[in-house]
Amino acid sequence: MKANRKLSRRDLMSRAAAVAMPAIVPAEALGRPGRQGANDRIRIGVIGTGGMGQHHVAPDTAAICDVDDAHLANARRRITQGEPFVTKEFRRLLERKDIDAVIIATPDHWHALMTVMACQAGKHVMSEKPTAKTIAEGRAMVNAARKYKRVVQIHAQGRSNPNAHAACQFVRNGGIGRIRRVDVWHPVNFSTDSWGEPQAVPGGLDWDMWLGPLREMPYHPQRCHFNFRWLMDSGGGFIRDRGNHALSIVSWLTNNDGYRGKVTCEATGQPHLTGFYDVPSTMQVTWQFRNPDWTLTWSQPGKPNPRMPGEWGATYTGDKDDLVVLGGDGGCDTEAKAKEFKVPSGGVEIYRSPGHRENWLECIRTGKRPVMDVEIGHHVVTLCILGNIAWRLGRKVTFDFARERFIGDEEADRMISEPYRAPWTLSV
Amino acid sequence: MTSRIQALLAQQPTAATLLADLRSGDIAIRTRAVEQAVLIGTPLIVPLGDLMGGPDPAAARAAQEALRRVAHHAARPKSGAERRTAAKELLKLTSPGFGQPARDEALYLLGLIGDAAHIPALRNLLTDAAVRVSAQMALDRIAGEGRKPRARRRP
Repeated sequence: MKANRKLSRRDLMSRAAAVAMPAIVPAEALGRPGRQGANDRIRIGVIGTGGMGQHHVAPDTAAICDVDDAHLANARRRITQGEPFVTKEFRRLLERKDIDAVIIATPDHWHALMTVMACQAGKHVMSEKPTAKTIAEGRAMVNAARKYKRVVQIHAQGRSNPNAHAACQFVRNGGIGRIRRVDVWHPVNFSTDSWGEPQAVPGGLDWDMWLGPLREMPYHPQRCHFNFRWLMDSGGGFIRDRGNHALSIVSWLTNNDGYRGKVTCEATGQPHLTGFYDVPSTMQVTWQFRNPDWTLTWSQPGKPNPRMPGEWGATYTGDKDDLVVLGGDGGCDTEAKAKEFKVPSGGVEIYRSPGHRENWLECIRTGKRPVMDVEIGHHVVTLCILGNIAWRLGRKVTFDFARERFIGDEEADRMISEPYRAPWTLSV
Repeated sequence: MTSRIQALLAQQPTAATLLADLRSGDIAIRTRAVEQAVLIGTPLIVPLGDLMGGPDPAAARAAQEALRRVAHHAARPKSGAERRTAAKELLKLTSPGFGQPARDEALYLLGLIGDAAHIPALRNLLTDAAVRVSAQMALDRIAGEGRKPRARRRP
């Protein structure tokens, strides 16, 4: 499924007309991002319309895809402008030439495959967090975005939140001095008292397609929608879920996105033994960075900062002051000293996103990199994945960001990727 | 040696007491037994496989977690012979005499700690309908194919 780059603009305009949408100029027709006219409508398809996917379906969404009929029916009701293309098979959606971009809001184990295949089909992508399930998947997503010159944004939308932006400007301009440590707190993972006995697959759900590249397992509602988060194979727990949000903000404020050095990671946590979920119930993770030296911790349960308590957040401690940032998704908040901060002359001005979706669409038009570009998403989710690997192995691991390999630990290296169940393979 | 490991050692668990504790109805005792499993190590692998196929789902889940810990501990850097012993024991669990969960789990772990010497045995399992998908995934992992992009996506 390679993008056809040899079609002329006239050919593509004809095709657009053939599907009765003469006013639309598909981005593919215009080649690289940045050549789309400011007034051209970008036609978006949404893959995965349950959970967060519901929020991505807009009144003018051009196509929807889900393996569950119930999700599709719900999404269809949200579309009030035009007749969308509706399918349970995402490859049919990617084949369509009248779709310019896709939003991927499936469970985690599909993010990389669909992003790579969408790029190959010439679509721009906004994929939900977490970026990927494995480090190798994240790398493949970056490679695909660059190879096929597509704009790929990860929907860890905290970087488009005004309060997170204020916190970033405050910290990057020395508001707390040199950063020594960041301590993230979060509630524990969900638990279950079910043992996951096989159940009948509900009518309308294509369970085999839901599993996709995952190893075979029987259907159970606590393995499927939303609850896949509590299995290491399909979710990885809160550290890879909301952790992708929280650590995105950490990486932004600490200017760590481009870090290519080594990091050590160690983790402890109570195993979940009252049911079939296999992510730990509790989790304490410590990452140690070098040059500059600073420490990052993730605690489930953690201790909220009493100065600004919230369900989840982080305390940034520098050698002059500290700062609390709550959340990390669309609901960030921070302290008044950051919100009231004005960047001095000659200070660091951080780009302010007009909104996460708006930033993505703007970048499709301009060719710029989005605020949560896939390469940043790959870096952030790698930190989350390292926490899970260290916990699973029960030992400290050292990861080399430059080589994207562990140091002196062959078993950990084998966890950089997960084999896919046939017929699925990841090919950039 | 950490104080936590020293505390576990001080309790002097044996394979028999530990396997009994994994069946305990007391979650605290089951949790402690899971943590102690690495102290017994590879001799536990086959009994844990048996326990995974037993009628008590709580004991089976505890055995699964203990099995993972034993295998990962045996494959720690520079563990040498212990890793090879663990892989040999895991290979036993892949036989049809064990339950499906134990066979799948053993193949998953073999993918992580096995080596080229295990490839023929894993290939033989490709004709076993019950575990051929798990065996193929283990082979993919040992061969390292999953670590690099493949040539083509099958239709």
